[in-house]
Amino acid sequence: MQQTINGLALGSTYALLGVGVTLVWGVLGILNFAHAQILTWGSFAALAALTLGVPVPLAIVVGMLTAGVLSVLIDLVVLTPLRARKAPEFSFVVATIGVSIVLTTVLREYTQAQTEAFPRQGFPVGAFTVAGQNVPRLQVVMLAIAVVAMAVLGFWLHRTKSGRAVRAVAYDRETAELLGVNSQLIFSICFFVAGALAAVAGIFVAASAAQVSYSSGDNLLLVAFAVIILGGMGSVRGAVVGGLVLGVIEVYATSYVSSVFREIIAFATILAVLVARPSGLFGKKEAARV
Amino acid sequence: MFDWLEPLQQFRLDTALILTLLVVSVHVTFRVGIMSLAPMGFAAVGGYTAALIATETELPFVAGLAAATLLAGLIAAVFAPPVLRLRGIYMALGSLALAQAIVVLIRVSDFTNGPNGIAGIPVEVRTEYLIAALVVTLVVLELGHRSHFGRAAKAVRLDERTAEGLGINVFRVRFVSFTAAGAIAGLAGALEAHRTMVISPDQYGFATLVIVFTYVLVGGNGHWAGPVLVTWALTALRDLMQVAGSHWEDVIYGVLLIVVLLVAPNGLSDRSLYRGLRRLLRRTGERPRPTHEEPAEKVPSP
Repeated sequence: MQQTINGLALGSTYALLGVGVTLVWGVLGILNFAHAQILTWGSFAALAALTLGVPVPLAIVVGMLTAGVLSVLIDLVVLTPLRARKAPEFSFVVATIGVSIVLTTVLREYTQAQTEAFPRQGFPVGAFTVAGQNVPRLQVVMLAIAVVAMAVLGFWLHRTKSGRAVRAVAYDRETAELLGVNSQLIFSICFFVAGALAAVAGIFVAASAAQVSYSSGDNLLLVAFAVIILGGMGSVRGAVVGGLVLGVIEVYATSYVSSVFREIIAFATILAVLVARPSGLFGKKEAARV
Repeated sequence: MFDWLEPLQQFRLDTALILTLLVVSVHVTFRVGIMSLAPMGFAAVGGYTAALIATETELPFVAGLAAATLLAGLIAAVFAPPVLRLRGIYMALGSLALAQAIVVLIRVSDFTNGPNGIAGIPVEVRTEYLIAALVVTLVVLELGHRSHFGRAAKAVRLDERTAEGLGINVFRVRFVSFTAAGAIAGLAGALEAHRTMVISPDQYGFATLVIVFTYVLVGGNGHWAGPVLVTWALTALRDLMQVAGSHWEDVIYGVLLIVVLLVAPNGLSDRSLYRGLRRLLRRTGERPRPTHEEPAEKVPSP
């Protein structure tokens, strides 16, 4: 029982990560390797705000704004020209890998490769007991944020005009434009929201680890991809469920099989799901994947 | 044979030669339109195989190289069927997951000495060996390029369905290329291990991959000579600019990669890039002549 709670606690981190990635990668189908760096830059912006004495909620907003603007800038400067010349999908992958290495190096020079302490005052810390089991507070808050973000995103994508426009652009950009959708604006909005959600995930991960460094986002990137692949492309609900499932699998594998498996679970999940059931848990069948 | 070079120059020459092998490995997959992010994983397999054979057994250095090449090729062959089922970004992600799984396994295993890596690998590599390995690889590549298989590979890259309709076994072409790329990357990893004496799991990350991709994409996906010449030119340029080794090198490569993708998505050897230039030159000539235009090469987006 405690293992399941631990798994869900870990999974809530992954769910929050997954919700951030699902919009750009899950809905628009753009594999953004710079997402982890956007997340890290957002956490550092929040850290800078916290050290200036800004209260926690405002610091989170600062981090979200920084990461959102950075994300939109990447889209405008690098990805929009690629889209304009109808570059093959792989160009986006390679270009964002290039962006990620630039962002990492700049941050490494700025922090001189030091790991910075992340203040936890103002964040909900500690654990409370339910039926004799320890439940960590911070992870409950993360899960709550993930679920709220999921609900809002789901509502936006399926029930509002601009959300339908996002799905129309994802489905067929040219037709959407003919129907009067400003696709560039849609891309900017999506990248802003994805960046802001990445920052939230990054800030809470930093708070639960009580530290942050220029490379702390790196291993979260493939975890986030694994969550989306597991949950199913384009499914916001799948991102949350996939995150929780991945967390539970990881904790079970660590405690019942061997701790060796813990780090490899995410990669094994990506390979296994892509090979066995490419549409994931909630995704629709898609011919292009295999 | 290369003793007249200064140690630093020799070091740079060796680095460039090993990088060239990695570039060739990536080029082999790009030539058939396989967008694989896995080469560093195979390089890790090669490096660790050679290092373990050299430090744990009495076998000669060449046996380690051969074992490294074969094992990396074997792992590539085993994982080729599932990975090659995927297309586009899914293949990129699947191959990256494969490479990362290999590196993580190396990091957590005991027989590879975990995150500390392996030290004390005997330095056996001399520049002559590297040149010999590269020449052999390039000769095989050129023979393959001119053979029926090479033309089939080009057809597969340009249009998979048409290639299949013309009777080309698309899976076989992709399988052979993926396996060959794995073996070449393994050889490069093994040579690197025998040159630097020390290897650790962290060196098989994104940084080297970005450098290799920059060279391959700048060089284009036509003939192997493009990426190879670009590798040498950029390595020389890097030394002249004296940024080698600093962190800003990574920034320069990242920016260069992005700029190349934006300006010349099919590489600098792409003929369509010079079409505008030629038209400009022709306009200054006396009379326009009808000439045969080569069709632009494009990677079909699936």
